[in-house]
Amino acid sequence: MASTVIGAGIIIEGEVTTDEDVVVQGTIRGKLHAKDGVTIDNGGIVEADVQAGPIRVAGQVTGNLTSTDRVDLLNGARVVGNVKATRITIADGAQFKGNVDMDV
Amino acid sequence: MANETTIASGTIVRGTIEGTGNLVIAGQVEGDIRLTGDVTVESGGLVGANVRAARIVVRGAVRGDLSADEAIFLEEGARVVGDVRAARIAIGRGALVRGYVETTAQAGAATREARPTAAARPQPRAATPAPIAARATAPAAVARVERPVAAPPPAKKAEPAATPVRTPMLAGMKREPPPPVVPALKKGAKAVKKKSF
Repeated sequence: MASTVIGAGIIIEGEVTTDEDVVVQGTIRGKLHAKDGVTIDNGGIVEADVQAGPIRVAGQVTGNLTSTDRVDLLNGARVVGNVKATRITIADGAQFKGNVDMDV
Repeated sequence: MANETTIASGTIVRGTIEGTGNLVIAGQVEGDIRLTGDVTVESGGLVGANVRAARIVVRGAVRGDLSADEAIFLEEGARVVGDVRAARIAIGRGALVRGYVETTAQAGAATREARPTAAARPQPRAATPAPIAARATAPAAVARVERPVAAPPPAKKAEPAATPVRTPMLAGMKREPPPPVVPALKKGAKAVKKKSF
């Protein structure tokens, strides 16, 4: 089954809940709950708290990231908010401002 | 890139969706949708919202008004409760509609499109709504004289008997949504084999 894709040019204001993978190329304002992975592509904007499995960010996030698995901030990512996950990587070129909680 | 947005079957969106590009909904959306591209509601998709787009294709369920700049296609499996407005509207076999249908561009198209709507539901009395509507402006007496000239095609079956019955029915049919198509089964009803006509 194809995963959920929020395409570029789309703005969702509200709450997104899903059992599947989510790819964000557009804009989400509100809340994002996923049981599976969330990918925020370059150009994607998320102004929301994100709760998910593995999270990969190459776009822009304003809000807290909470993952049951891992958070990867890739090159080009711009994150303002707190990150809570068991494993976190921040790539060279990623911008990040916030607290990190690795649950030790 | 095609700039396509997909709401997959396990996904629920509560809130408005707006912007450019196309949208395919196989999941659930509650909240208004305003797009400049095409919106497709796949079978299994549930939309509880008003939808505004360039083109709308429905194979799933929609509760809310649909309005498109270009066209609306209601295909097999579509269940729409709400008003449907577009320049062109196509209602296919197996689609269910409950609401006001209007083709906004040309008046001529409106009567043409009204017929498949009624034909889609299994109601014998709604078979020819368009000719009735055309006749509605003339008084009953005048209409009776003019009928053979004005509207020969619908005059096939039982014409004289049908005339007094049809006129009062018009008032009820005018702009209201048609009655529900779901047959009510009484408790304890058994299946009876129908005799052939």
